[in-house]
Amino acid sequence: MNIELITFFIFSTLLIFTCIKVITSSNPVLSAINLVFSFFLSAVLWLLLGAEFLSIILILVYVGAVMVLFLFVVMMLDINIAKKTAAYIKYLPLGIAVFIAFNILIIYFFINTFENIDYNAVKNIEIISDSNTQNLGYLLFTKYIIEFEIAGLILLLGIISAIVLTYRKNPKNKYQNPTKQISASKKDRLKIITDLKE
Amino acid sequence: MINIALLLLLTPLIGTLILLYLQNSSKKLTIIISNLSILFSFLLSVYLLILYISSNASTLSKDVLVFADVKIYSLAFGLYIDSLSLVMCTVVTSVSFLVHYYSISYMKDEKSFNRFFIYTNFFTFSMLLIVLSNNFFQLFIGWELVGLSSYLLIGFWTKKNSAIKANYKAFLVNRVGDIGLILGLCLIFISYNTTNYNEVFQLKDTINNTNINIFGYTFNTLSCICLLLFIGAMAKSAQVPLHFWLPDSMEGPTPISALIHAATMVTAGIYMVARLSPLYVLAEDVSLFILYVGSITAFFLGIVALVQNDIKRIIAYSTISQLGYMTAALGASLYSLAIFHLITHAFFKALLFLCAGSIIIKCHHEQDIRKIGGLRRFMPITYMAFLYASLSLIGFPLTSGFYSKETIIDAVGYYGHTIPYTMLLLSIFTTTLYTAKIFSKVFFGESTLHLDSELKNKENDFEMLMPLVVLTIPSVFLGIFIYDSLMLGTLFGTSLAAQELVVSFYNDYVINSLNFFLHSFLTINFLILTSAIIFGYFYYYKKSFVIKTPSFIKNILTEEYGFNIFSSKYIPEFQNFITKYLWRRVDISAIDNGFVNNTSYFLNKISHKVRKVHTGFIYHYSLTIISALIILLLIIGYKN
Amino acid sequence: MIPISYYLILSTIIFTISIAGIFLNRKNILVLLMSLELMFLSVNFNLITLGNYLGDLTGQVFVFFVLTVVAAESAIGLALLIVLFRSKKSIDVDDLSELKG
Repeated sequence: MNIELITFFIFSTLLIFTCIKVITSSNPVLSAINLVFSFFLSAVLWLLLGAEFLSIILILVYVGAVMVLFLFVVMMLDINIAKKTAAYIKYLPLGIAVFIAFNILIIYFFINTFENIDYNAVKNIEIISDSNTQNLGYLLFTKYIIEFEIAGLILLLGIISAIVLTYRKNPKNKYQNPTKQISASKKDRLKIITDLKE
Repeated sequence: MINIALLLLLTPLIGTLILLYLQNSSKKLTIIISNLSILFSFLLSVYLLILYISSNASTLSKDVLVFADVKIYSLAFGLYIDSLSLVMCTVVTSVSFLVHYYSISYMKDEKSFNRFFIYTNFFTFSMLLIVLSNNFFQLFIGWELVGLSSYLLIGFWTKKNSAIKANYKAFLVNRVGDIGLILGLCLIFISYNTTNYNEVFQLKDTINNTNINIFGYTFNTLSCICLLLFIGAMAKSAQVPLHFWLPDSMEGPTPISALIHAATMVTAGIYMVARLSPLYVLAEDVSLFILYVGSITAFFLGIVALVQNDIKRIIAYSTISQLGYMTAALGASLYSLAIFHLITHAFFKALLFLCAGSIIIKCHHEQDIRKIGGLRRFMPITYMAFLYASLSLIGFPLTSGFYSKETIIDAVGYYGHTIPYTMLLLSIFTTTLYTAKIFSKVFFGESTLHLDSELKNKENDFEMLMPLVVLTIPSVFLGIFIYDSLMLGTLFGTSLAAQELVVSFYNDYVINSLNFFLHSFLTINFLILTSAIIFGYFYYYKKSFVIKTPSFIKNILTEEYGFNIFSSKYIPEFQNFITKYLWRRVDISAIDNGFVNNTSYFLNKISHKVRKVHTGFIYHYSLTIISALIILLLIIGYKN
Repeated sequence: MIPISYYLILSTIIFTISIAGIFLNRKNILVLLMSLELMFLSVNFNLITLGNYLGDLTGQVFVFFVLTVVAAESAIGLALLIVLFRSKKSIDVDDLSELKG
């Protein structure tokens, strides 16, 4: 029993526990906090797998940005936390049954498929240094540059759509409409009045 | 030779097509094109016939155009050239040309003058298609086209109610026969895997030994084929019990009656049986059936002509009776005699019809012979032509009709078919009698019509008289001209089967044409003929005695054995009953309510049930998705 | 060295927990979105694990993109949530049954 395995077991147990807490706690704030914990824990596990950059990103971006966003929404929405535990308990056996069935099936699959896997199937990757971050950056900016750009566009899209969806015009605000200003013609403004004396 | 035959076949079609595009052109152009195309066709067929006979060429069967070539079967348009088809071509085109020429004058006051010539040209083409075809498929197409064009021509006067009914009747009765023909063709295709005549003829012996199972009964395949095809021929050639369309088809213009009843449509059935004689020879039971059908038709429908008063109907019944002779000859396996009678009959019957048309035109479309009379004085040419045609029809010695008809009767008797022989003999009497009836009433006696005095002394136009004069020649002299060569099999030697029957009859009984002529004065045929003439002379002309026919016999005869009432009353009623039943039970209750309405009803019910699945809750949907995923995984896991 | 199946089993468990969260959750959509986050996390787990064990960095690159997309997704999802709350004054899952047949 080496230290690696012990770490894995401790953190995975905690991870499962926090995940369960995420879906069971009745208070969304608690759920969000537990989600943050689960992200932290999985970041540790990713470190074990040698994905240093991604584990840092997970904490920075997820915990720092996305989860904060969640918390903000929870606070903004003024949700009354009504406890509907009756329905919850009613459906719990079904949930557990599905959980077990699905787990058994997928685990059975994974064991069957990956038990005798050839770990050296893919080895022709270009490694420029020992650092995971350097390697990843190299790969991102050479081979996957187009995908990287598209990812940026997707983020931009996310920003725009989030703004468009939530943006509300305040009727009290006074503002100019440039389109209308440009399309105004002479006839709308000028009125030629002929000699009134006639 | 093939190319010339193709040209001969296609000329009338080209004429039709040109006329179709020139429907609004002048009458003169229509006349020129239609007559020229048929004349050209006629000249080509005469040329081909002479070429064929003089060069002693063998039978030629060739596919000109292949429509579809599947591995097991090819659908082709082909020509079959031998003396039989060429002789038929010549007869068809010559009569057709004369009828065309005659129609110029007969139809001159007609509004849809051009339409008439389109139809007649197309009719000629369809008939030539039957005659020249080398496979059953093409035969069938020609058969249907002939039916179509006869339908169009019988109902040419589209505003005449009886004409519309008559053409409808002709079409439907022919359809009954066509069922037999189609079934026969299917059977041929199933059993021979080909529809080419020559290939079928080669396989005939092997098929003769096979049987076919229909509803648990076993039949000989070849007999079945022959019987089914003969049903088609029965409808086309107006044999009992599918004959009753023919008298009604007299509603069309008279030249059409001449064309349909003399040379083209009605002979198609006879021609087909003769063409397939190698098959029919083997099917002896079917041949016997054909013999009886023919003789019954010849005898009983000849009698009906006696009580008719419409000149065209009388001639129509006489046509049926004469077709009965041909069919009887076919049944007795005397194929060349049937074709011989077909040829002579084509000429003298066309002549009779054209004379009748000439009389009808003269009498302003009056067809009742009781009202017409005394035409001999001012229609001398028509009178002479009608006289010769009648002599030929009754089989007066030395005329064409004499040779063809008496030979059939004697040969049927010679081969020991007693009952048909008796019937055929007796129908000589009736034939003579009704001919005498027309003759005495139309050309002698007094007319009850008031004809214009200036018209009275004038014969019809040259266009109408020329065909009469021309047709008189073959009506009278053709028989003696080709008799010996035909009987000895030099003319149709290779194209018809069982020629040896005719040859042995010729050697034993006829010896030569002159001898046959002299011998005929001693036979019972001549006795019957003379007695009928004498009887007719006294009964119709002198009116020296009156015979009271029992009213029930007269009723049966005027009702035409009930075929008319059967076809126009009982069959429609039966049809009505069935269709009403089908309409109420099948269409309304089963299809409308059962299928259509119930489908929507059940769909409605099911969808009402199914829509409850859509709860609108996300967790229900996700549960469904997960369950599906689990099932999918289970399936994959089971497979692995 | 930890066996690969441990990681895979772990990710499966997270995945099924999140699925159970989706259809057990009757309270609000926010938790539903959080379940989705968990689901993505388990997928990322798989990608990283397999990439690591096969010695291929492509798995990590993929995770990078997944993170990007998930960020955008959660932003839009939360925006939608806000719009929904504005119109219905509730984000209760039980109230969202307009699709009912």
